[in-house]
Amino acid sequence: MKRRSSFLLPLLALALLMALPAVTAAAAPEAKGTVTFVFWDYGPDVQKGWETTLTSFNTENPAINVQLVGAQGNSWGEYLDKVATMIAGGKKPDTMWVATEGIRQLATKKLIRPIDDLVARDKAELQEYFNDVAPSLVDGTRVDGKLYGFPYSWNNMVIWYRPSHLKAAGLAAPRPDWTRDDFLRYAQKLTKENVYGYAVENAYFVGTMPWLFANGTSLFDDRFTKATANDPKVAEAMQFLVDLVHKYKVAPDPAGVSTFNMFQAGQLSMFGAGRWPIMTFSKDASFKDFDIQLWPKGQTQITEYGVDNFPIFTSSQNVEATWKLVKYMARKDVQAQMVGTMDRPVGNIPARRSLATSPDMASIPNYKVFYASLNNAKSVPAPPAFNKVESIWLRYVSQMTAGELPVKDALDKAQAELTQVLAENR
Amino acid sequence: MADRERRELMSRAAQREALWGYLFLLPTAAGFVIFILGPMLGALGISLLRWDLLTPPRFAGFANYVHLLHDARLHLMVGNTILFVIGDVLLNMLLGLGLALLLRRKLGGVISYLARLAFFFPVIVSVSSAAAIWIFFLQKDLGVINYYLHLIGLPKIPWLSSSKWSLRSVVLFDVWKNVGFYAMVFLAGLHNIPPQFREAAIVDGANEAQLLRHVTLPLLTPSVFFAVVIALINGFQVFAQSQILTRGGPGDASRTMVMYIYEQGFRYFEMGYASSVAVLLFIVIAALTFLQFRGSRRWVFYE
Repeated sequence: MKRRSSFLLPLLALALLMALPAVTAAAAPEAKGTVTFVFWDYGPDVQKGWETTLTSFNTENPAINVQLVGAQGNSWGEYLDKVATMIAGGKKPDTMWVATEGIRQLATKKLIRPIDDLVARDKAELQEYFNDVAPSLVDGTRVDGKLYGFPYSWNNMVIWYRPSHLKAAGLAAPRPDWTRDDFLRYAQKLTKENVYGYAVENAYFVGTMPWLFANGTSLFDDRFTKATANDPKVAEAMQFLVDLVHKYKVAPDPAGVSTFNMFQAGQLSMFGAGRWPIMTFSKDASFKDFDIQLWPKGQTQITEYGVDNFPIFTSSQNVEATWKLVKYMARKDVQAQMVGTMDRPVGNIPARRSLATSPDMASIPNYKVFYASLNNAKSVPAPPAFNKVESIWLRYVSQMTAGELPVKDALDKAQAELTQVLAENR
Repeated sequence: MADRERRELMSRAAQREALWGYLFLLPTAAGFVIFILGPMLGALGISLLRWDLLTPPRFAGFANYVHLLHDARLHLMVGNTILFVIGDVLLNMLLGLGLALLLRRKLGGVISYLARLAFFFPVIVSVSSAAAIWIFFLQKDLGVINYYLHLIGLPKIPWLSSSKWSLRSVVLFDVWKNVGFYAMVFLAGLHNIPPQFREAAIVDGANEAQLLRHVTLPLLTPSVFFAVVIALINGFQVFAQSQILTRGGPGDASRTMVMYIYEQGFRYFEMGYASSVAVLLFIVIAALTFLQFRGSRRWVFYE
């Protein structure tokens, strides 16, 4: 009991402290003070990128001091885990850079607050932004109908290919409505000694979900009330991936595969990704042998996307200043920094249509398919316990692609575990 | 009176000396308490909770420990960890000893220096960067090792992607990484053996094999004991090696206990359960180390 009360006392003090600025804010919204901003620190230049992005914010708002805090991780999921650990350790960030994978998780735990009230207040100011962003992207930052942030950047899954390899194999550039059979034919023609047509990846957003989506299925229903890993269409899509490795032998063993390296080294002709490989490829100015096309059609051609944004933490003691920063990140001149230059923190696609479809994006020739695909797109399946879901799924994917567990058995087992996780985290 | 004064004076001096002693101990002791003992007791406490870090913890009694008994995944990983430790300790000891014996031979100054450097170099390279490079060696279809196996007509080995090979690959990597350290421990041990024992045996007509069996090895046992204890403790804590090389896969085939602690604690936020696995690991390591110290009386010879 004693421990508990000593734990509660600072919490009470914190709650009082939090109430204080809220009261004053209601009287006269004034944006000043420190805003702690957590970002995914995935490489050495990331912090510098964010500092550059925030330069004009600091100039325009000298009363607000943005404090940058990096958290590391190999994926969005792992980054999210680090932030959670940070919060558990007593740090109270005001906002963080977070993608679809984390929004629902944070919202379910009530760590972030909906911003519908703030949006309603500043409706006139934000109208221009909403006019310029695809509604499906905005939906990607909604949980149960409530809005948690403004899409900043996003990615959808496309197939990257090497035009010179296609040419050498006598293949034309794939058409936007190419099918999975076309894709297989391409991969077979492109595969030769030490060159693989495609690389299957033991990954969630990147490796497996796009194939499930293209087959008109997913791991869960849309509202995450039940797992659907045992759907025959999931099995069919996963069997196709296993066959790419073991039957058709057009993809290398996925364990230890590094797609960017292989692609640049000419050992790989096609792989799946969003826009981000451009960050790596543009480091070698002489490497221009790449282009993209929509994911091949299965039973449908639904594209998978993930979007990021900056939600406001429920515990934020400085909502007004944070809101100012959140609106700043939605501005066109700020999002414009993501295209044309490569020294910014993300190699993603800007959320604004006017930027994503501008010729500044032309470092990838067929860049227009990015935004065009949003007409028929669904967000990456990210239920509340995404971290568990991802590890469970990848554990079984690795056994399927290694050929160690028949697809049906693996999916039945995954179904049981995913169902349990959903039940536990409702 | 004078006697008492002197005694008081002495004891004061002794006290002051003791105080200095404690002061000098303080940094290490404080570090031990703050960074080792504290977290250990903390883990023991947390193992009795259900706690997801983000919402207040709830007392769970021994529920986490009961779950340990029924968790088939954990049992597999305990098995993996034990297999890893057996392979890792055996190979590190045998190869380390072999290397040390080779290095003791009279190589030229520079060659001996270079050889030691070569064997010790992997020890100082960070596990994660070395493992990232090893992936290029071990990848099944594009890896360096299979390229050469293929050249001489052997089939490709799925080093990272088969449950038969993935744990072996982790052992292989770890031995490459650490055998230099054990070789240096053994080499130092060999240098500490007074030459007169060997000389006396040679005079008695002992051959090389007999020398090794009856003189060198018995006198090297303190080093072997030290190395086995260290290797065993390190082995049970294996994490980064398989986390990077195989990500524990395929499935859980190369997942170890510490990886599971990480997964449960920092991916699943089951801090209580993760702590109970950590306590289990602690008990296993402590028990084995205790047994080794007890057993060492039978086979470790100090001159």
